Amino acid sequence: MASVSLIQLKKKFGSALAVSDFSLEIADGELVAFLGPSGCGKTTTLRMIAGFIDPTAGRILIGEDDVTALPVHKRNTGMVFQRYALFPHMTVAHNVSFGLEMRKTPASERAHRISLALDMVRMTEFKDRYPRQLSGGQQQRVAIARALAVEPKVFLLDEPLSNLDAKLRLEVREEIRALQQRLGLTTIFVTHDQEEALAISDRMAIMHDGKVQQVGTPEDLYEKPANLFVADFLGKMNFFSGQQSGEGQFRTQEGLKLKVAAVAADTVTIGVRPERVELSGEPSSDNSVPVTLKSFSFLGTHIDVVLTGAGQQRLSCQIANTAADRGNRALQTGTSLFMNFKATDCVVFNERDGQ
Amino acid sequence: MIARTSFVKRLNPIKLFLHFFVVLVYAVMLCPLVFVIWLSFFKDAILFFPPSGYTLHWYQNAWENQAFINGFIFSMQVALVSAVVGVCLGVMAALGIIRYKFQGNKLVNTLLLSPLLMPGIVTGIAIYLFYLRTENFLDRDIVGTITGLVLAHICLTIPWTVRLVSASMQGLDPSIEEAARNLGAKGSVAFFRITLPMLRPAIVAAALFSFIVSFENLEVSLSLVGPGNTTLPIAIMQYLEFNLDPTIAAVSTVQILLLGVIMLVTDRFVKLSQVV
Repeated sequence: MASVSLIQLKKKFGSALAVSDFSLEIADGELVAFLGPSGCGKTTTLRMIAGFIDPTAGRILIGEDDVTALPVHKRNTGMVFQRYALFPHMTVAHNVSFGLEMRKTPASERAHRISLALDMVRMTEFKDRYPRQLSGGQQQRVAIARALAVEPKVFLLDEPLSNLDAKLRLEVREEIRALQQRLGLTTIFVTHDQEEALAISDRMAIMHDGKVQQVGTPEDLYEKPANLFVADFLGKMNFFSGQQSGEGQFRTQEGLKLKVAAVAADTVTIGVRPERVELSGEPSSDNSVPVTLKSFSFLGTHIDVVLTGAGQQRLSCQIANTAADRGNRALQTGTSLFMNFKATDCVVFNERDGQ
Repeated sequence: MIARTSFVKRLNPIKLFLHFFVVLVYAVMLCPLVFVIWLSFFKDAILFFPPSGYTLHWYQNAWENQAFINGFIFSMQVALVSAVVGVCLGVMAALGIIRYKFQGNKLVNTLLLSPLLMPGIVTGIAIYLFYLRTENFLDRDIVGTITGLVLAHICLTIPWTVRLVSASMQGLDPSIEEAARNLGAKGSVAFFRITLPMLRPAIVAAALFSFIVSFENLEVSLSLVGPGNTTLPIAIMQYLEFNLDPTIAAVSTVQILLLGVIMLVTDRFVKLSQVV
């Protein structure tokens, strides 16, 4: 395995900028997820690393080698595709064998490596089957074995779980993570599913409109989003516009005074996560915002509550479905309540909420 | 009571009509074949119903007719060469049309399919006139040569290959070939080892159709064959000018059976019904 460096990577399709100035260092053995809505440039970046797309500008290093000009078949990356992309006219074993044959691995060693790779994904007993005889999850496992059998320098996954149903998705996801950690694979995982990215990655890069918005560990990105897009894309957030009105004080457009620990002179928006607020009939805690309960939906582990604040502002709150709270469930639409939250749970931004 | 209900259900007039219609279509399609085969066994030299008896004489008659034997062998050769060359060219054309989005892409596609739209006799005469001009220009024989005939037949076979192979190619997931390249295969290796085998059913079907189209072609060959080089359909037509006995039916029966066998054998290896 090897590290990967992206240096000022840029791709233009005609006049449209698909990826702009993407720089990132991926350490040996690290799993980095590229997360973003469709069309954000995450797949384009992955395909540039694999060599399917030539970058307009910038460089790609794998280990110490500059591979920017190297053709796909010489890059030694192992890629897994969204729709499995197994060779339909070959058995499972032949699929895995293909990459080894291309590398001129001697036949004696090949058999051994094929069985190792298939063992790794628990598909040995299916080695003589054809792809059409396998389920989606099994096909994706074979695709993983095929990509890893050649011992690539980088493991690239392009939305590998999107075609699987919910239960399998979790299973294959855990399997990919376990393999990645056991073998110490340098891995890039492209997804549009935030839960997937949060669960699996060491670090993630959130992309939007071809630009990297923020790179960091899942906790960092969730707790300290760098901008409104990241805050809103990763989980939900309630926003209040306004400005600093004193040391640790923030005044919203509607005239509410809030205590905000991290407020600074350039703060124009503050945010608080729905699961960090408490609903109560009484004002308490550092901040209390009067709200009206608009609607709520029971989601099993928690209840999603939609509230209306001052100036018809839409706010939301999550109530955990725990035993202690159960008596508190007499939620009724139209009730006037207080949304209470701590000064330290507020996140500050220096850009205005567009909504 | 239950049996009665289901019987009434089955007599649903729309379904009944559908069944009747299906049977009718099959009857209309198969009727000529059945009659040709049946007639080939009639004893009488002049056809009339009911036949006075049955005989295999006409098969012997056909077998002893040198024009048919020669025509059969010649047609086979022409059809084989046309099919092989036509399929190779057609696959390349389909590949170009589907893979590379060049200017005039659609125009080329339509042009390659156009021989299907033209009446055969018009195509034949057009090619004949074109050959005459070219002969003057190049100062060598083309009309009446085997090369001239094969080239014309290749033109007829190309639309089938282009149509079948490009349809099949459009259905392929491009990431499969990408996966091969990612695993270390050069573009050409990925094409020959991965893409081409996936197109195999379409290519086999295209070869079969090309062979049949060439083998049974009469209109185009008519103006292009030279002395000594007569295709089977032309031999049959020439025989018909002076005879009206069931020998023709016997020859046709042999041809029907031969093509039928080729189709069945092909279908064993490649499910034609999935491609066409």
